[in-house]
Amino acid sequence: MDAQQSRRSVLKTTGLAATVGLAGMAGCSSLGGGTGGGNAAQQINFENLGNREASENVELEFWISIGAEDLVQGIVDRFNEQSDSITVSVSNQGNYNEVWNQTQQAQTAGSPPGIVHLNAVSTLPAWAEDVVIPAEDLIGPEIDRSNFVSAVSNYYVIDDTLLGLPFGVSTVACSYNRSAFEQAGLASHPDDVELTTFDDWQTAADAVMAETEMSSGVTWPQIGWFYETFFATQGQNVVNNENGRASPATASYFDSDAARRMYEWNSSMYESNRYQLSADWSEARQAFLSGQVAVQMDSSAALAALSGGAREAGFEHGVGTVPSATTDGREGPIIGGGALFVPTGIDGAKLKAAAELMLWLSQPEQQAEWHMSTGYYPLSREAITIAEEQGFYEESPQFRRAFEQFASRPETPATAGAFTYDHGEVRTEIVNGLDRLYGGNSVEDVVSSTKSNVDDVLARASDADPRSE
Amino acid sequence: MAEQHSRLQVFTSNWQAAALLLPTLALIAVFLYYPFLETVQLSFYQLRVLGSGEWVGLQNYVQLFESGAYRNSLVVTVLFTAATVTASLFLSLIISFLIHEANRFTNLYLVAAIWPYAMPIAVAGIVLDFLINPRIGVVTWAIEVLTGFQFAWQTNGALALVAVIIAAVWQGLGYSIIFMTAAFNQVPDSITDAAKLDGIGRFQRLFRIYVPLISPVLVFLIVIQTIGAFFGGFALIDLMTSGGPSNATNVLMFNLYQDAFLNQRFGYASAQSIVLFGFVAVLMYVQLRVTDRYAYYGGA
Repeated sequence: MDAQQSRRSVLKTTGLAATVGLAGMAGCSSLGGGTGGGNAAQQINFENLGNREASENVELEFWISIGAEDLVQGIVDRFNEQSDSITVSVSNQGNYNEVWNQTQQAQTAGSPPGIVHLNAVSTLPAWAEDVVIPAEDLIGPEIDRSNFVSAVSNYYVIDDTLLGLPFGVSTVACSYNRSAFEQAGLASHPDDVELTTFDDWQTAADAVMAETEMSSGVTWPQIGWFYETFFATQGQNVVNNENGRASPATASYFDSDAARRMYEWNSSMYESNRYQLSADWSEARQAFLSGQVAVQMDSSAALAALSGGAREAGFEHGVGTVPSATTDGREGPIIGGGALFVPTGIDGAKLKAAAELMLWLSQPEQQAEWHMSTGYYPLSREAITIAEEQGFYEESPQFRRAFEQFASRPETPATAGAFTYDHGEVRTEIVNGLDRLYGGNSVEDVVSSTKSNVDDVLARASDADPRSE
Repeated sequence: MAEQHSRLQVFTSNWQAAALLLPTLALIAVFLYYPFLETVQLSFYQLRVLGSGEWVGLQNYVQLFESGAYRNSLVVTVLFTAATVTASLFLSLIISFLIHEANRFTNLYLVAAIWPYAMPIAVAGIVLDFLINPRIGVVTWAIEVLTGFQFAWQTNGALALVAVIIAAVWQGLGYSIIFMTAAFNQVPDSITDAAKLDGIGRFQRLFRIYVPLISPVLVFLIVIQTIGAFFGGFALIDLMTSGGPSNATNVLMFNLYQDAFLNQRFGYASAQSIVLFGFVAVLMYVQLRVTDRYAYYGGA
């Protein structure tokens, strides 16, 4: 009996300790006294940021989200060299979400880094909850936004204030297998290739499936951003109130004609096997590079890797067009990627140093270097000119083609991209709707359920959005 | 009783014992109980960003119980747990019995059986993902060639749940096999010999003689596996399905993670954490009460 009692109590204790511990792991912060509320004006007075007095040695942490920390450190090392007193160290802190979470935890602990690299979708909550200082408040007087490519910076402009410094900006870009197109009897030169409309994509898929050994024609990963891009190419806002930019969005447009066209096209492409379902980025890349499909959509930042991969696989890579339903009223792709932000909670010499680094990184030379090393879009036209002068586009014309499609689009709320407080959740609901579509639900069902689910997210999001007040 | 008392009398003073226990207790307090209490506190706040919250009382809990998505997640978790624990225990019982009965290469079989468990779970998830990938997987290809059935778990919710259950069972088998093999080795040879002399068949011997004898180990495994299934499965689901398609594999733990670290709803996620803790605590209590009746601990 004693033995039984003791074993039972051990089991109970083990079980309870394990459950307490694991339950506790989910909550790992303390409640501080943050105020929230967004528009709280930041009182930052810099007499002259460009000529900060080098009176105090400052060490600044720069948290990057997309890997490439060695590359960024290489660029930043030049900043360190030209500065008498500032030393910036770059570290990779995981993906966008991890950097976003760790930034908040560091702020709660009272030791935020100097600069963080956050995803575009974190912009509104970061600003609304005073997690970051608007870039305009920091370096506004020192920069001329008219030099920026508006397509790159517009996403981050709210109430005529630039909230973050775009860094690592990309769009959806279309790659195609020129060799397969030739074999299928399709126009294969990038100047002539017909991949502009949904119908063009269907025609191309039919041709390669009939004339080559490919079992499908096209693919792209199941990620909400691609579908928002299909809204924008059709000139359709994703949510109301000027895509959430004039005021918090209260309803979505997943029941619009543009959305229906998108779902109908996606559904028929999938049903007919013209579209090969790729759950994530790597599956889509694999399918393209291993010759399972002839057309693929990806981030423009992956163009160099895809081009190199195609060369290794023995086919020629071309850059096509992200499709729209028709050419009439075609607009263009939205941006993805992230921006640099200065977290609240740093002050004094550190804040000045962070502002100085932001300013320095916004300059064309650094932007051009970043663009040429990674393929991410630069902030200014001058950076493009530098890249041009250095012969970058002769070696890598695909970047120029993708960038021009992006930079030449009309600037409308649709192309600026939806701006909502919980945009990550909106994207999750888009993917959930697509899962239902591939699971056999009708387009009409997907349209109504996605609209209803996204509208629920928007209701919660607009409650949290300080612009509602 | 007196003998037991003297056996426990290791330290000359209670203070000495307390001092030696202190580091462990301090670690438990700091890393388990303090975060737990913090989680309880957070669950009464609406927090969109860490550090700034608004007291909302029980609103997070009310929202939780009204949420269809949460109910779906609960059903998915119960199905995942029931299937994983049952399949895992049954298969490991058979496998460890066969290993126990084998006359040769026992160690080889044992190593082969516990190999998946020795693999880091992320590696196991990726390996499984390749093996049962609907397009390039060897296993799915074999299933399709042999039966004509397309194991399209990336688009079919029920099949996706089956896929992650298979992955969880496969990955976790080794753990149970280690315990069961050890338990089988504790069964006296005389019982086995007597059973053989009486002409009792092999599987009858397993279920009628061995299972009752190793029942304390089975109780332990049921408890640990149930906790593991409720709280675990996370890495496999994250790697293989991300809770999809359309939330079909969105177990409570993954739902909690999404709400906390992707959707930034820390208060709501904390409430989920507390409710999850409650579910498991109640389940453990019931399980221990029920299984205790059937477990044989020896003695009178």
